[in-house]
Amino acid sequence: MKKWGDPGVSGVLPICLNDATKAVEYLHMMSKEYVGVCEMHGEFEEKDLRKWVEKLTGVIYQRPPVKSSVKRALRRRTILRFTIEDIVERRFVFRVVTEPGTYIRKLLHDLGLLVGVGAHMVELRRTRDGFLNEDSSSTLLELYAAWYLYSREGDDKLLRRVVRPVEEALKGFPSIYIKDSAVAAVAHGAPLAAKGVSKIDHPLAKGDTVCIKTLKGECVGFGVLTMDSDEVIHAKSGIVATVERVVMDRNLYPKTWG
Amino acid sequence: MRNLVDVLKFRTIVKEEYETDPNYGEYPEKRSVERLLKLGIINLDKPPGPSSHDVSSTVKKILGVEKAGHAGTLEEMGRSRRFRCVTYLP
Repeated sequence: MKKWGDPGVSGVLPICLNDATKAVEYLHMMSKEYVGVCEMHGEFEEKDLRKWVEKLTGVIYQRPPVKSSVKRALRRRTILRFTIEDIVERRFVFRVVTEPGTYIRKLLHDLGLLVGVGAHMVELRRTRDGFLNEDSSSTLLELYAAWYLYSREGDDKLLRRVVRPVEEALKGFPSIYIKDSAVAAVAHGAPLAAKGVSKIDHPLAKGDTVCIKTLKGECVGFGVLTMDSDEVIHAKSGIVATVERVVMDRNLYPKTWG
Repeated sequence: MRNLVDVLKFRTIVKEEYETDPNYGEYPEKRSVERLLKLGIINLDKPPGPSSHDVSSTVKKILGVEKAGHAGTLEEMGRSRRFRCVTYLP
């Protein structure tokens, strides 16, 4: 069977179900961590390799590879961390933390050119995507077993461990917590008023994207702050955030208007 | 790095104390399986081989959900969709 995907790539892949897919674009706003193996095409000095790895940390420019599914315009991407974990002859293990949309294969290819001998990535594994890491990830087989136990035997224990509330991926997302009385209005897309706010993460600036949550921790949706978080704390009236995306079911909380 | 929300550190400040009514909504941890399938996420360990897209369509088939979307493609190369094989589980 011919393989079309990238055979050497595995690891954390968050999959949103039904209404949770509405949060997908916000899950993209988080860093990703990878571990991988790279092979150099010639003899090289360890010192050189380490020097260039250090230089590739920070802001880099990258053109998406020819075989990619996006427009090949030059991108600026931040490499938050790039380290060499182990070197065995021509191969080495690396760990990298990046902004989304960074091509790791390309990064290693460029590293090879900089060192002067060329290199290619042999294997790659994503160990973390935002707040989700590989320790809590499940395989397709586990999912299949979980579904079997639930649908045939009514045992939901495993399924509940595999399928998590979407809020788990949004644990540390900058949030604003609203009162029950404001939930239905926000769930209908109305902007959030100062009176509806109970708690807010600080410091946040005007224009920042926030996750709007209920006091039970449910994700109502996502919005954009129209003032800084310290202004929100003191605001007596007016709009504090506009609503960009509603995730929650509209009918869970009672309407308080009309 | 304002566009990377997970690297920022916050503390939660109370504007106004408020008691939430247990009669409405649900604590995410207590969500029923039916509700989880509607508003859940799977932290899937993608196997090497099939593309991210194939994996989410497999998930969709196993659970019989209407929609399943992956967040962040794990390196997908060519886009020859027409001849792509989908991996099925036994």
